[in-house]
Amino acid sequence: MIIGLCSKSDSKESNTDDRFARAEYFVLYNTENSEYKFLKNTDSGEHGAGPKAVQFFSDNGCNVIIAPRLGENAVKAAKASGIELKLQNDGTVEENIKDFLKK
Amino acid sequence: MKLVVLSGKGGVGKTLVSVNLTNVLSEFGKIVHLDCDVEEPNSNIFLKRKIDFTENVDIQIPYADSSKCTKCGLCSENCQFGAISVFKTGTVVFESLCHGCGVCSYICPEKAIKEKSKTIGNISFGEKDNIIFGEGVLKIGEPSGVKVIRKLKNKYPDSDIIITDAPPGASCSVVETLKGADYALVITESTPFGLHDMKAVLEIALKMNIKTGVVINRYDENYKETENYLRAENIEIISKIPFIKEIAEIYSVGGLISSKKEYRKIFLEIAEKTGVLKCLNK
Amino acid sequence: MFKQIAVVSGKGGTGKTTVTAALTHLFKNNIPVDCDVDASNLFLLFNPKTEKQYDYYGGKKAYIDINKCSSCGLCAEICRFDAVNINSGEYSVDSYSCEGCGYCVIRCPEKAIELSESRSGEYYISYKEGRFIHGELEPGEETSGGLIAAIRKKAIESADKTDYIIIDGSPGIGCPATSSITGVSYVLIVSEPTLSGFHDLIRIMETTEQFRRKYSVVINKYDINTEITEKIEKYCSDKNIKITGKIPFDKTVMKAVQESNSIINYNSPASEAIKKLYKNITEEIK
Repeated sequence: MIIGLCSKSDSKESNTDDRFARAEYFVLYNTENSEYKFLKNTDSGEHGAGPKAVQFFSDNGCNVIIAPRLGENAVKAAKASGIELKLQNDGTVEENIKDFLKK
Repeated sequence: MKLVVLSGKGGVGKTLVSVNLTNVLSEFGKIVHLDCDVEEPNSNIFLKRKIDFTENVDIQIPYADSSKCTKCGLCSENCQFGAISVFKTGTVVFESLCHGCGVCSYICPEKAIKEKSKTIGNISFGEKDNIIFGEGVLKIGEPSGVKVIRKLKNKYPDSDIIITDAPPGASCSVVETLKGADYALVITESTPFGLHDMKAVLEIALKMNIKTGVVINRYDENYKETENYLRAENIEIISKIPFIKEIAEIYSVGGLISSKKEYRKIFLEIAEKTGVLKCLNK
Repeated sequence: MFKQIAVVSGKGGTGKTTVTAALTHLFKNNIPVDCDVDASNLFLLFNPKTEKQYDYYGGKKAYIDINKCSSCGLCAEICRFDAVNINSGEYSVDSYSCEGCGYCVIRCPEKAIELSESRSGEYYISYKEGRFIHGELEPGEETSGGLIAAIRKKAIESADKTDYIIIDGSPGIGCPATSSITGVSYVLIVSEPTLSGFHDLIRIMETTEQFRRKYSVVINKYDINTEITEKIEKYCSDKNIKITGKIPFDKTVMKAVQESNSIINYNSPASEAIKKLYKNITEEIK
């Protein structure tokens, strides 16, 4: 499966970003090949960033997004995309994925 | 005559002036008082009119009929606000982002988008003793009060004397309130904040070609910058209200300071100098 | 990792900027952010030096090319924002009312209308003993929420070795106010003990709760009406909301504002009360 996260910089050791739609980077982790993809978030601060971010993850085949507490529009978008939301912890991208996969 | 009381900075005495001006004018004839500060309307705390009726202010919000939606995405492509998007399970509208413009329902090739009413606020009215009072209230969680202001104003387009309490600031809500005004009465205070924020609203009133005058509240004769600026710009100073603790105290309990003789004359002077009194006496 | 604290008020004039300025002098290692883009007074108080300036394009506006326009009037008919003006038979768009939705563009039979980016404000990175971020909206514009988001993003980008981002929020309860508080660690609501102040406090509290922010209330000029102060205290305690400060009415505050100085730099009752407020907030955000 594909897990989506947001991070402060483009490495698995970097901390997760505490903003979702306006995070520095979006992360895609593929559990099949344990590969990470980091994409710079080009959001320009406009309205509707939450749903747009969810759309990005949905378009990239995410089944789960590990994220900070999301606003109501992003939650609505995730539900409509059939994407599960998990609350992230304060650690790195790698730690969050490890924690999630343990359960 | 439509006179709008506004201020760049909040808390400088906009409502103080508007409600007391209305109170004093009501001795001479029928006055309409409109509170357009729809995010935080306060006029009725002072005017205490009983509300006779309330009307909802609705906007049209689209929703997608999933039985007709083919997920073509045309609605999403044409929405300027990111308010409608197509997801796996269907097309979703994000109401807080929606401006109610009508583009998506028009453009949908399957006519799958319908519209429903959403209440964003209400307008209320009451009348007693020469004061016809109208107030708009924006529902909590709604981003913009412009439509509430528009609906409130449309209720009394042709009445004789309308005193309007505008929202503070210099944004689109203020512009909406000012449309059609004959006079913009700008309230400021004797501080650099008051001066700076006054300039923004003066700019709007000027662009809209509305006659403008200024009241300096909490007037401090040691702070000369505001007067110097207004003199240089040729804008009339209508009144200087002194910084008196009693005024703040009466205001704090919802009292009308113009009920006291020594303060009544301040508002009589404003009524005369702005030309409202003359209009009323016609 | 920095913490973001937003100071809001609901009603204008309660002392939000005065309190914010004082807090920026008390918190170590912070970036002050003036999000009151309609009336950027924190900026006035600090008078920082502008380092970088950015244009803000908040939305689009429609423009009618009169050479292509056939004066059919359809745009005026269908516009839901009353944004099309007719002057001596010539059609034009009122840019104050236009919300940039593009409906007229799509419907115009002559394809005479276009949407263009509209510059609705500016924002800046400035400097005064540290970074200071602020912005200004063009008078009459409506896109303050987006400008505030851009300002806050700049503040976060500038937050290198910063412990706090302290936001002077917009008054009211609409989009500018909520854009000031979304995603912050803590909100401080500044209130005043007047009937209108209490009325507005209730609305901004409800708004803050809708955004699920942790918050407390400070009562400014509390001694001008002790009865209403008590009412506010009871209202807050019934809702389990802390009053983290009570600042007395103090003429020194006006003096500080006129001298473009922070109240903290004066020996006065208001100063003392704000120092207590600061201590209480640091306890709250641990």
